[in-house]
Amino acid sequence: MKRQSPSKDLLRSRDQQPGSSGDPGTSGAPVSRGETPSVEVRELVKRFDRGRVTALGGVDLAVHPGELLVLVGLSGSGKSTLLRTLNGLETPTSGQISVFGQDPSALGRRDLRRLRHRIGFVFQQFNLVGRVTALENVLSGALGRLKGPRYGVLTYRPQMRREALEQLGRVGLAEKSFQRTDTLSGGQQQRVAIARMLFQKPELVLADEPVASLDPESSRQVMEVLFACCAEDNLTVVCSLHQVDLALGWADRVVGMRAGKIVLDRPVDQLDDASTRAVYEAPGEEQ
Amino acid sequence: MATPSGPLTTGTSATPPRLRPPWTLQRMRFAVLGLVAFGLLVVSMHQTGVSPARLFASIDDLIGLFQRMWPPVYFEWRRYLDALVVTFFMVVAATGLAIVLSIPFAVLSARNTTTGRIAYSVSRGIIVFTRAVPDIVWALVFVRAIGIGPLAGVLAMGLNSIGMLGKLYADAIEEAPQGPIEAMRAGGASRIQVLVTGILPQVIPTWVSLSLYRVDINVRTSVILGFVGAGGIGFELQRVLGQLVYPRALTIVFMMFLLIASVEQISAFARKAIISGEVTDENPFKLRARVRAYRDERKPGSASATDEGGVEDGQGPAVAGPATTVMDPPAPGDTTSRTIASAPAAGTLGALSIDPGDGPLRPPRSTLRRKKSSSAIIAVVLFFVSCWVVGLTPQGLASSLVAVGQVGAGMFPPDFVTNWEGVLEMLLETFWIAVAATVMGMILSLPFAILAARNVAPSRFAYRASRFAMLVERGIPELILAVLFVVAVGLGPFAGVLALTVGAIGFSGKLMADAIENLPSPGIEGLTSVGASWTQRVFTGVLPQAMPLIVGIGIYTLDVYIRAATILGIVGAGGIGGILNSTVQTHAYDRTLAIVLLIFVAVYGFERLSGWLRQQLL
Ligand SMILES: Nc1ncnc2c1ncn2[C@@H]1O[C@H](COP(=O)(O)OP(=O)(O)OP(=O)(O)O)[C@@H](O)[C@H]1O
Ligand SMILES: [Mg+2]
Repeated sequence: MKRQSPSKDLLRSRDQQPGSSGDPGTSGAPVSRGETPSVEVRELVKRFDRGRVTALGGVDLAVHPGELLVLVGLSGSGKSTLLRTLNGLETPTSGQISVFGQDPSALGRRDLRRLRHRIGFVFQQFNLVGRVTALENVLSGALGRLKGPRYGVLTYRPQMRREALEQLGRVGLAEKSFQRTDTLSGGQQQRVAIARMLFQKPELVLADEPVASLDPESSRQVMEVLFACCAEDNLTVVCSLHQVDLALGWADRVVGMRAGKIVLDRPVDQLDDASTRAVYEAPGEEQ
Repeated sequence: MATPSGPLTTGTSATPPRLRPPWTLQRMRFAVLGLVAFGLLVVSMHQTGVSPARLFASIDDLIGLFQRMWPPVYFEWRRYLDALVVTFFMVVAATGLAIVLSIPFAVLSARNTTTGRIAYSVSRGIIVFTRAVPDIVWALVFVRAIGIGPLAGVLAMGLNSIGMLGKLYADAIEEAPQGPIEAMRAGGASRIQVLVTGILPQVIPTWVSLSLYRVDINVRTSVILGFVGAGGIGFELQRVLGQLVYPRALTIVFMMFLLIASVEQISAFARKAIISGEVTDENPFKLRARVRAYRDERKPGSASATDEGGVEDGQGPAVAGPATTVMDPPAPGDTTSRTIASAPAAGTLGALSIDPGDGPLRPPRSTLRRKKSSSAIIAVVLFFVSCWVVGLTPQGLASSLVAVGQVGAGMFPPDFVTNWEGVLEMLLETFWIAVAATVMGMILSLPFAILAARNVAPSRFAYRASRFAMLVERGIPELILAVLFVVAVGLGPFAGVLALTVGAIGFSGKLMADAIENLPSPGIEGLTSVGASWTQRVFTGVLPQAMPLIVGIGIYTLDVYIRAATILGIVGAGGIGGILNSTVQTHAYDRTLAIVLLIFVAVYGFERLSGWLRQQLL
């Protein structure tokens, strides 16, 4: 499980940053940095169906700048709900949220847009417009910083198109830029979605099971692209994932959820099979 | 012969074997329905003055009319051609106007794009209202309000089209994949940005198809509207009929037919092109189903309520269009790993990222793109030319809005009291016209349907001839038929019944033929192998199987004909339309509204009833 290929180890640019004091082995290095967290939630509760379904039952979590956090947990444990609440796609029932010091649920429409623009979101189902070209989908990532509606590639300035092409190049799809998005394979589509997210130039990335609908090989590829690009741009990442091993070598910290509660939270180095498995098994003796 | 209750061993039991089928619930339902239909036919014939003798006499009348019309004379053809061109431009202007106006209503009345509860309810209300009032009633109102001429027709069709397009556009928005919309919202896009970048590209093909379908409907409507003074070729028809110059009338009807048929062909072709240019898994039949579902719930008879042809033209399933390129499987360890490898070293965009300045910054030219943009340009130019021809200017629009406002104000409060016995009597007459025409029409069109079903037709020729007859019949709107029958047999419900009866050949006949073609064939083949003759096969193999479908189509036809019958009176062919017309002519708009509301309630009520009936039987 602790398979760490040398190349991957080499790539952990995060660990070579001055901030982590050249000691990647120390547990919770990022947490101990003492910076104000990018994301902080306290006692977060979210209920659906007029309180009949509790998706989040009091979650406390802090994510620090530059941290790469992996969220694991059974289906229905509340991972998606947590991520969606963080950028205001859901409003919490109670509790506090702070993202870059702001509470998305308390913001007006314009401020919420501004905050959302700083948060990139990667969806399980890619959520691309199928009928238009890959490049146009990437370009739409910039809408938050543009004024007015856009229809078609030509309605974006050439400089923007150039930058969007660069992002497509980073995910290895430069030569597909003008192909219709729904003719791309699933893995390619998710890479287009990642390029869109990168083109948005976010500071925080929320990824909700980005590879859950892909085959193992594409999954590996997409996760590498996502993590490598985020590491390169030094982005804070919260990524929910079913296969923890895809994140090994990249993740700083693993948080496990069960039934709307956090039942595991530890640096990846201190992670062992048993504790991971416990997240998925009988009700928790964890913590 | 085996009954569900007893075994086949008939010999041992004391009771004699059963030689007639038991009365199952299904059989009883059909028997009752048959009796009811027969009773209704008798009563309705009595009520509308239809009798076998009169029917036979009317054949003579028709032949007489035809003789008076024959041969068609052409010496005014330039004038008719001009009118025909105007009619065409009326259709384009009206549909374009409706498209432009429908979009905001659609956006506001789609649940996922509306701005709030109030906007939602108001726009839904406007959509329902514009659709509930038949276009010919709108035309009457506009002709009164702004005078005779094509503009009145354009506004009438435009307004009525908003009801249909607004609703179907909104449905398309609601059915568009929500993922991309959410993604854009999550990226901080504004509402209008989400709409234009996230939703518009997804709904445009559907919107275009729906608009083309509406063009078909409007062409059929436009030739009718002229008849009440709203310009175009229908106006010419009314003029020559008024002057009793029948040979010219035949020319005009023929030209109308050509216009309707050719526009239908063009729009069917365009729809097919749009659909085949799409690389989606969207099933073109969904569009068809959507239009049909919409039609099923359509409110009181629009002038073209019985139109069925448009969307039927065989649109094949979507096939991969020119935009498709072969999909590359992602190359493992290729681009991806290179991207990563470069990451720590460079810290900037890796060397393998494509040269920023090098990539093409505009989409490559393709024939598909060229076709799309040139058709869009042609459509827009055509729209502006049409507006110019029919006098649809911003000022014209504004002043007509004022006129409409005045009429609208005159509608309130609706007056249900004045002459309520007359109104009630005419509502009933409308119902009887529809019933008589439906039953007689089903009987008349069944032979056509059998001949026009590919799997049953005795010969290629019979099939072709029957299909052609249906096509021709469909090309002549019911109201035009009604006009001709009024001339032939005189004013009154009898003319209306005849018009709708003949109209059934193209309408119910086609539906039945298609239904028969879709029957499972083994039963029919089995009879062939037994050595049954063609008639035996039809009566033993086809009709029993098709009966539930035929009954269903009959109920649907009645449903549609009730709506169609409400406007027959406008040309003097009986029913509530006569009173409706006179209230508009005398500016008694409060009574107009009352009648429209009554029709709405009656039609809606019957629609629910017929839906329930069809469910019981099928
Ligand atoms: N919009 C909603 N309406 C009602 N219930 C919801 C809604 N969204 C989520 N839930 C419920 O909240 C709970 C948590 O769901 P959530 O999607 O956050 O789980 P998850 O951990 O992301 O699961 P998965 O791994 O399957 O994606 C589930 O019980 C779910 O049924
Ligand atoms: Mg989820």
